[in-house]
Amino acid sequence: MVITGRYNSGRTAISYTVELEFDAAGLHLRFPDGARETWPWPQIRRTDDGVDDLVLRLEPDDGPRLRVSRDLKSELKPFAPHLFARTATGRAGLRLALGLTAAAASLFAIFYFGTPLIAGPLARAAPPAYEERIGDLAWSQALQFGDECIADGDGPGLEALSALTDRLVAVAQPMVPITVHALDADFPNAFALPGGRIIVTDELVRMADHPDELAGVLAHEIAHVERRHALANVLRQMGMFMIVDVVMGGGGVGQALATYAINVAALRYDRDAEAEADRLGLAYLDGAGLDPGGMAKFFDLIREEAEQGFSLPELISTHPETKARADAARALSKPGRPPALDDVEWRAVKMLCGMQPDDQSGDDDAPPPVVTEFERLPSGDPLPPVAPTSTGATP
Amino acid sequence: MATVEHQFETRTNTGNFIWLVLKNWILGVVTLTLYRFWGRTELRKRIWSTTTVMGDPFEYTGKGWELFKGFLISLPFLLLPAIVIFLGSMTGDVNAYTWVIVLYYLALMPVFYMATYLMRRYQLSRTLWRGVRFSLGGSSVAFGFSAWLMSILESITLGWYAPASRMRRAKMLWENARFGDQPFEFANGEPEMARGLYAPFALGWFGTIITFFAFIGGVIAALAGLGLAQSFGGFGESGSEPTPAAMVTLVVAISGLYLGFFVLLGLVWMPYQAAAMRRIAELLELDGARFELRVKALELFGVTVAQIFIAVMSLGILAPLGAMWGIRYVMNRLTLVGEPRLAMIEQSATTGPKQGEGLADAFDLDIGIGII
Repeated sequence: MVITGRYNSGRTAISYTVELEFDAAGLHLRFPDGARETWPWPQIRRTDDGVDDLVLRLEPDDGPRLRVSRDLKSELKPFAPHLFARTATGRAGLRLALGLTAAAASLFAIFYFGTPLIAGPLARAAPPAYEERIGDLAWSQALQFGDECIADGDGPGLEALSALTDRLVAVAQPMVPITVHALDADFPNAFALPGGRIIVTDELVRMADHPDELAGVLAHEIAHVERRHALANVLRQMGMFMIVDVVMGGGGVGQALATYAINVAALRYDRDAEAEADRLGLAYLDGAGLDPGGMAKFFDLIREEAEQGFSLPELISTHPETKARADAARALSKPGRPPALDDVEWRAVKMLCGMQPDDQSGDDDAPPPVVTEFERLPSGDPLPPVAPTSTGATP
Repeated sequence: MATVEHQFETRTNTGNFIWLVLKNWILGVVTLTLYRFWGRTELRKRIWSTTTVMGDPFEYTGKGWELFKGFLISLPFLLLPAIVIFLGSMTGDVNAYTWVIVLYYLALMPVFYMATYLMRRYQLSRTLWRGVRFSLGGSSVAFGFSAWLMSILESITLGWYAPASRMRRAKMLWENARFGDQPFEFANGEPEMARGLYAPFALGWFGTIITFFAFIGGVIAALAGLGLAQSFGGFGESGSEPTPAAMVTLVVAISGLYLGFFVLLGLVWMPYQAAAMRRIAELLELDGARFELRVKALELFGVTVAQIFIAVMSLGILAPLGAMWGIRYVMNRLTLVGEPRLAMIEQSATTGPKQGEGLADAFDLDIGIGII
């Protein structure tokens, strides 16, 4: 039986039927005009995709193609096993897959370790005007969650809160002026916005049992402002956006996974920032002549409330584990120091946003204060979507 | 004498194409999408190797490395403007920043069209039939700016310039294309390229307006029917808060209306889509042989629905399968009418670009064979 194949010279678009013979020397082609040509086995490669006829070419590729039936596989294989290797049809091999996986892991590592190195210094070098504009935007978004408490009745409470803030600011000496605002919201929280705004919600004030606890919260947020954590977070997210959108293109699940991996990495930076804010906050309290132990009491309160809800392991939560933070604050406790606010001031603060001073139960229609924004983050941050601006939260 | 017809045929098997798509997907996940260049190459190779005319298959000779290299080369061009804009935003000058953004997007539009042209140049240079390469000459910059100006004209004319601009773009693309050393001809001696397109375009244009108002009317009727008009529109008698059951019914009704809106949009535009595709094939010639494409509006609509369905139901994973269906549908209705002098058509003198599609990847573009 004569074996045939379809031959294209690669010089013109004409197709011939050629007769084929093969032996150890190679594949012998006999053309319709009687001319002969031999293709040596080591020079033959495949250009087909592996699902249809075999399409062969010569290396180096000068254009000719020879198409033969797949049924010839068993006869050709003993002479040219390389034509039937796994990667013979140009499909990606294991080495490529491993190489690309390593490249992806490297990119991730660059982001994981490189971003904090760049974002922090860049944030500290950013012009204040830029930070203020981001802060204004974040503040307008925060106001979607509640009204600012600026009624006449709020005056004394705000004054007391500002005076306490100023005491701590005098120790912290941040580069930007800091203002404190009360927000009538149905969740307990405190956060620092870029540009120096610190926001405290009425639910958080309601939760606090002692002015030193509130002082602890404020000191923590002032530390965020001083270290410009919120802006660094914005810059990091922009970097993340560039990596995910430009480098990790193509959309789909791969891109979603890249985003997820980078988000997990971002949690580490948040935890680091929180730990730094705790450490500095405690130092500010001490420097201002206040009892750092107040922060510990507030952490205890958070923990009690959290036990009613759910909590996440430290690895994937934003803030370090609450008990460890409380213990660290307790170790620095200086009992006997005067409270951060006197009775009159404390009473005024507790009346912010229309609260009654003895009201400890919260609004009837408010959700149970399952505390800490950092424990809510993964399931739905109650804060505005400009997440980087809300690094602070309850300490 | 009867004219000879040569039917194109794509026999890509859905079953084994799914395996290829899934393999690419898994490797794409593991490599955080970096595998996409190789995956895309394999899909193209599979489709071309199972597409034939005159009994001979096409061949795709592109390589994943080439796409990856093109992407790396384009990366600075993409990242630099992003960094400049970002740093510009830090100056705090809102006016200057706004102008930078506007200029950036204005500059981006011709670049977008240039990217489509460069991508087509790369793809054609890697496509062979009977060992002979296709190619695309011409200037991508000229195409980019012409297409951009045409898109501005489309906006000014509320879309009515679209049929003419579509044919002009096709002319620029095809007249610069060659099979071997043989150039394609487009609209040779035909003064009215968009002939026959304005009636289906009008159907789409007016159909869109009618569909839109029907949708708005449907929403108002749904609100009124459920007694919720006063809660949302502020008219009618003041009533109580909407009940949860009414809200659920409303959401279901509006979702149904949305679905209906998009189905109707597809139906009113598909005759134009099919007519434009047929017209482009009709105006195309290769050495005296012409092309004929027998696509029909309703069939095209069915294919589009199937593509959307498979993409949505598989959360995008099997979207390339839908793209393959689209190519298979079109190729199996494409015919070459007449006999080009194939013995006279010689190999292309150009080998094409050394790398490909970097910019196109940035724009998530992939004309020619859908999202593949």
